[in-house]
Amino acid sequence: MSVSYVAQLLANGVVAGSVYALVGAGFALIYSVSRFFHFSHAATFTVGGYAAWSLMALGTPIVLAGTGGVAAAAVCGLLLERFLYRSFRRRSASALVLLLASIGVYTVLENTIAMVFGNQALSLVQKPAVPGTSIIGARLTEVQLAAVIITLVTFLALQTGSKLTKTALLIRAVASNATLAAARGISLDRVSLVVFCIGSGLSGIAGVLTAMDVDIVPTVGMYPFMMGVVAAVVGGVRSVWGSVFGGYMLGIAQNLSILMVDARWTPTLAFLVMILFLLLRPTGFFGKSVRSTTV
Amino acid sequence: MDYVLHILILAAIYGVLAMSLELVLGRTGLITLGHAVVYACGAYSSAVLTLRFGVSASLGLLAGMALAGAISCLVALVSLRLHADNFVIATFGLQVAGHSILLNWIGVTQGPFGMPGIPRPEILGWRLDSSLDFLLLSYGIVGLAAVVLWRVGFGPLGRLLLAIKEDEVFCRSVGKNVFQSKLTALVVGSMLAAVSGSIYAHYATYVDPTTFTVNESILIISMVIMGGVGRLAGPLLGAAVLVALPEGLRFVGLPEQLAGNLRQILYGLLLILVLLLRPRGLIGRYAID
Amino acid sequence: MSGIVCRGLVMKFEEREVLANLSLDLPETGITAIIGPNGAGKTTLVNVITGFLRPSQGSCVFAGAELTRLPAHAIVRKGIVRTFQDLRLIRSLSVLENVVLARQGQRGEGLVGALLGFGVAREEKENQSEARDILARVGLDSRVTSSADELSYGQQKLLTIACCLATESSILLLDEPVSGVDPATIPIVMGLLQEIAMEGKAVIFIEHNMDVVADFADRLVVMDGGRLIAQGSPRNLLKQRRILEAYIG
Repeated sequence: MSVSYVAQLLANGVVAGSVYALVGAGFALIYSVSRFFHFSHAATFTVGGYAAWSLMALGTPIVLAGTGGVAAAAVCGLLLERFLYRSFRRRSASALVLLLASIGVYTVLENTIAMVFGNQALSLVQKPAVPGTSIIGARLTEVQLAAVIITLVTFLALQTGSKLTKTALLIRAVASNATLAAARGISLDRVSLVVFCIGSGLSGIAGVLTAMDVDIVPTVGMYPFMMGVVAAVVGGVRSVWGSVFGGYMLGIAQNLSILMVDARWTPTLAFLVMILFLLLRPTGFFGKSVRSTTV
Repeated sequence: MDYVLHILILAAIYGVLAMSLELVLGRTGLITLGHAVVYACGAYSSAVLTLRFGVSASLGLLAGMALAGAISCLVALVSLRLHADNFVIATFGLQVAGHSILLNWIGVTQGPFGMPGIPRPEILGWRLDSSLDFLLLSYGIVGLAAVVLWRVGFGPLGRLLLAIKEDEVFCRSVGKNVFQSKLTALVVGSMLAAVSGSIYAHYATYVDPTTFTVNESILIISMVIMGGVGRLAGPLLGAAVLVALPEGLRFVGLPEQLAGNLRQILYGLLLILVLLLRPRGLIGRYAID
Repeated sequence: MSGIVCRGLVMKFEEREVLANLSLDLPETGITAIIGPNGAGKTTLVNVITGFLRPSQGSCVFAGAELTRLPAHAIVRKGIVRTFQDLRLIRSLSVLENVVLARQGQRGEGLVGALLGFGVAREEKENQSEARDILARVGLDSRVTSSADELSYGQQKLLTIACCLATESSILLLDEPVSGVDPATIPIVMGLLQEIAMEGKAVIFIEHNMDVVADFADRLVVMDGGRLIAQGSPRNLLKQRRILEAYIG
């Protein structure tokens, strides 16, 4: 077990963690306003990846295709909120109903993609036989390196945006107390549109980055989505940045665990860890003020 | 003719699955995304024990029920006292982890290769071989399950579960041990799902992990929603509809894979439409919440 | 003397001390009113006593049991029942079913009882009969089969008291039992509470309506800022209205 092996695992962990952090952050952002387990978050991931693939297949240069993919994911999330979830909200649907509806959405989207693109794996970029760059003995492809950098830039932009824009203020207001925000004239509809757009966009970025790194199949979104949820729980705070932290921790921990356990068990381990967190730090994610069981 | 019997048997197997979930989801209000895992407990326990160890079918069934009960107890102990949304996440984790174990624990489950050749069961001297035999068995189980669920889901316990679903704080304030009641519903529902799994294993004589994915959990939920909650016939009807519907797709003439995708799309659309336009489902007594 | 004995209760919500080293005794008979300004910690106190909140420090003893270590449902079995400020009821059940639900120790609610059913039918019949008597007593016998939803606000308040009676508890902790009730119904509710107190049960209620407090309470407990400010007979305390007004305003 050499240093470079551990370094490799760490590097892989950061790459994987980037994806989980993006998905988790998007999920937490959406949840903070909409207050339901938006299962179709897994689908916006997939939409991002496949949209980028389609654009590349049409000859678009890679950077533009990637951006297109992200936009497609963001629009997808936007449309879902505007035409579906809002209708449910108008009928005072409960979180359970919204969860179930979002599960239906995921099923429809994933299988539609499968019907259009086929169930077999698709490649976005030609992968070099040997990974390109080397950092302290860890080998990463250019794509993977780009992915980490792009993710960090995204979070920087997000952080800046959350400090400077008025929109971020509105989101925080609704997230902390929707009734009060509404009384102050803040439109829940508008804020919902914004968070679904941004949140799905984040998921889309993760989808595009994944599509550039590995072959994609229609079910590609499910696993990162699950990990994003775990990240949000593990992050221990009902916040976007907690999920980011959780995502990186999860990615690194998962890869380092390969030192002890066969790789195929890491998903199971991840969920066992999550259950541990649910036991020890359950109030973190879904917050104490939301529908608490006391009076 | 055999084909019709096959559909009827599947409808019965899924009927029991849907009824068992109705107790947990519809009556008690516990959202679980892991019902396919306890279903798998029954199927794989029967498969492994009867195929590998020559255990009788009845024992295999009981072992499956015990396993399902134990797993749901464990999940409940860990997550039932937490906020409701955390419970959903925990069951989601159960689903993923459970499926992963089926896929990767090759030593026991033979992983992606599945377990073919599960022996036909013999119950008290009656050896079940033909489709007709399984028709009788599966509908017999439907009847038994209905009796159990009727006793548990209606009457004082059923009333308590409904009350818990609406306002568990109130229930605690009038001296009810909410945790215990939820646990009861969960364990009963899981054990019945395992029974279904056991029958499925012996009927199909083959099990593999692809039957027990999150899609399956979603399908069972759809059956409950579509049929409606509040009466036992609801999930039965939902199961019958969602089993029979895709069979109609066979006549459209799509290649197998695409037909599978189309079926899933239909399931998803139906779920959304029912939730949006007819929350009571086909014959439910009240909406899902 | 065995009422509820609270000593040194401390309860913090995010740095704010809602209960600050609170010690008081609540009697097991008579009608006691707990008053104080908003944020005094009255509802929090009730939550702590009845097991819906765990204090960071302190103890509450009743009938020899340490309440802060018991889950809420066990405290009801000990004999303390409470209502909620925001009127909790099961709206999808009928009026009768709500009261029957509140009956204790039902065998039919356990798995074995439900499956095997020995004696459950008889127990259910007895509980229903008992529930009807209680509903007649609170004046809701004409609405027995209505859904809890269909009752007026005042009737719903009466229903919550019926549920309390159904638990056969010896102490009733009521959180604002007449707030929002129309003035004509207030004497009906308070009259019922007086009857209950005369049977030897304790009625302890949180209230903002000073007239109700003055007319019906035997004893007064004044809280502010999570502490006990004063306790005693309403006549004496309300004489010091000047002092009280500073708190209640």
